[in-house]
Amino acid sequence: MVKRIISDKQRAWLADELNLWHSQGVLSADQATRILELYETRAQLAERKRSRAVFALMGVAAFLVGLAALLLIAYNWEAMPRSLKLVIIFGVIIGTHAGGFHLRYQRQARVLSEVVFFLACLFYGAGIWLVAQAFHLNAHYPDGVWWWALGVLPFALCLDTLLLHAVLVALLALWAGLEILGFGHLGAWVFGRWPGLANGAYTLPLLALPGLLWAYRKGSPTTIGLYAPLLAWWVILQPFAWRWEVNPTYFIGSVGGLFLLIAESHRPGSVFAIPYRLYGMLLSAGVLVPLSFYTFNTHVVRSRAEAAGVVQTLAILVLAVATIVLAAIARWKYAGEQIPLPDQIRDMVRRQWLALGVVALMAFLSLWSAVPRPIELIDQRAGLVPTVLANAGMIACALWLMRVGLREDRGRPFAAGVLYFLLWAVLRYFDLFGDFGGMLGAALMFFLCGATLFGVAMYWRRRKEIRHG
Amino acid sequence: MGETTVTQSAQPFMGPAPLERAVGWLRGRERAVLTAAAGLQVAVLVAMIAVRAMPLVFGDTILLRVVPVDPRDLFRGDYVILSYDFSRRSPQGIEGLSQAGDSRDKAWQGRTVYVSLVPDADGRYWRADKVSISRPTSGRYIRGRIAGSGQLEFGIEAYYVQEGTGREYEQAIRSRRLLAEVALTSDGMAALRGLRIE
Repeated sequence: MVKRIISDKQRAWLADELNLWHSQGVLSADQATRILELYETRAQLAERKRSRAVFALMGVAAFLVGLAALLLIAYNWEAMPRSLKLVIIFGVIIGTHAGGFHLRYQRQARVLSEVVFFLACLFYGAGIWLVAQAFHLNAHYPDGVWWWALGVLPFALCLDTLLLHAVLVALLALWAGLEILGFGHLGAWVFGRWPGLANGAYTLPLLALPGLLWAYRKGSPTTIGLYAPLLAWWVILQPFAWRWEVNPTYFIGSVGGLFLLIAESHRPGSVFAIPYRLYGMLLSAGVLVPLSFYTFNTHVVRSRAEAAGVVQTLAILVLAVATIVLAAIARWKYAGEQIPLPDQIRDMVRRQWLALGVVALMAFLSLWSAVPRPIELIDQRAGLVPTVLANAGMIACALWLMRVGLREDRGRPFAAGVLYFLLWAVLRYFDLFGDFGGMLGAALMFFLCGATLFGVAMYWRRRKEIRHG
Repeated sequence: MGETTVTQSAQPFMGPAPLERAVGWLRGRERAVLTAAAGLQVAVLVAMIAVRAMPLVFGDTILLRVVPVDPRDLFRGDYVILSYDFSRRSPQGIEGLSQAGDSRDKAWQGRTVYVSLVPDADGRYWRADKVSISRPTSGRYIRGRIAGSGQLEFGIEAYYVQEGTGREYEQAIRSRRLLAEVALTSDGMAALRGLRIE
């Protein structure tokens, strides 16, 4: 029977508890031994750790070898005839794949085979550029990155390694960036170029979706942590593709809100929610920092991007509705949660008030910046409302993070919430009172921040002691 | 702080039936899928070669005068960018385009164009006669597309050289001695065979 995976700490805790239960007569010695035997032994645990370290080293080694191959090719030996270059590149790709198959199916060395397949996929990418070089091919070069990603996709889905998912995500991110930022003027490619349609790299979600489903199916939040920023990157690039990039701040913030919405659509306590929450909070809380300054908001309102602001508001609202509907369908259909609609709405408001609030705030601010107004009015008051709302948003984000930490008994979101609150306090001090508070005022503020952190750390420690003994 | 604490879970997600069937199918045929994937990689490279090699195998070679610069590509090393006397053409200079309706420059991007070629006075080199969006019915022509801002591309604009050897081409262009050997099929597809310094 396959033994269950367990960490060092968990094993030590379990052994202590079993001893205690045995001494109290809850369990017999035989039962305690049998329970412990369900889990990895110390030797197996050490071996697994060693294998992981060796695998990581082999992965890095394969990456460096792939990089060396790429540079060797880039040197472009003139003494080497084209036919010999092709023989070498095909030989290396086919030979490496053959080695991977041999290791996986003849030698049953699955882990090693994955490193070899990873290397073969790097050689394949190098092969694309070599062929382009050998035939002096002047083509639309992002296509080379796309074909590389397509060739990696089946390997990422069939093998168990994160390495290939990391390569796939990096290639797709590079491709979307090149297409949208470098070749946006060409128009979208949908069985030919469509100059009227923005070049939004629309095949990216199709290529990323299988990997994301794979991550859920495998129970791998780390893999979701790779695909979540890729999707965020793609959505954030869309205003650039559609030429609305006059002020992308609100759109970036709203993408953060949508990610928080996705995070809170998972079951309570699900680790799959963590990557979405992390990136959602980085985007929305990050955007709120500049938005909390009056001068920034006045500058944005002065930029007078009326049409872009309205379109951006509409885009944010459409994306929010689509995300809510998709999340509701997923929960109702696939998670086995057949909850009546009023209860669903109540639950959504309870868990997603911050996510919905961030999205609504960004939509409102985008619309606010789009309202046509005379220049005198801009100079007087126009930046005040966004500033007050953004500051309220920062406090809400800090409180929400602390609440998530308490709810899930996790120190990181709790600490992030505390630090974000302190960041807000420091920014506002220098923003509002910095001029007349002087060094003494700053010293008092830093003292209060330190005291708060100390107090919070003591509270968390005490809470852990009470809960875990 | 009367918060209910929930435990962390990372149970694999059991998706909808079609997804589970797809995963099962994939798992059952892992070896075949991996073989097909490796085959796909090789096929992509073969297709790249097949498309580019066609003019080199079946085409005639003509000589065109070129204008290079010398940039570097991170992936592919040093290369010389080549430009031809017909590489820049305003939309008004392309036959059939002004009648196409849309006057915006963007609307023309990506469209196929044909450049009719005629031999120079001495018969050694070839030069552009006219540029059109319609395929010429006779004579020699080269097929390209509008890349934007009056720029036309024919897939023969990059010549890769060994690192550090682009200097001689730079010198050749300054003295107007650089020629491109271009392989051209009867339907206008071109491939760069090489560069020649006179």
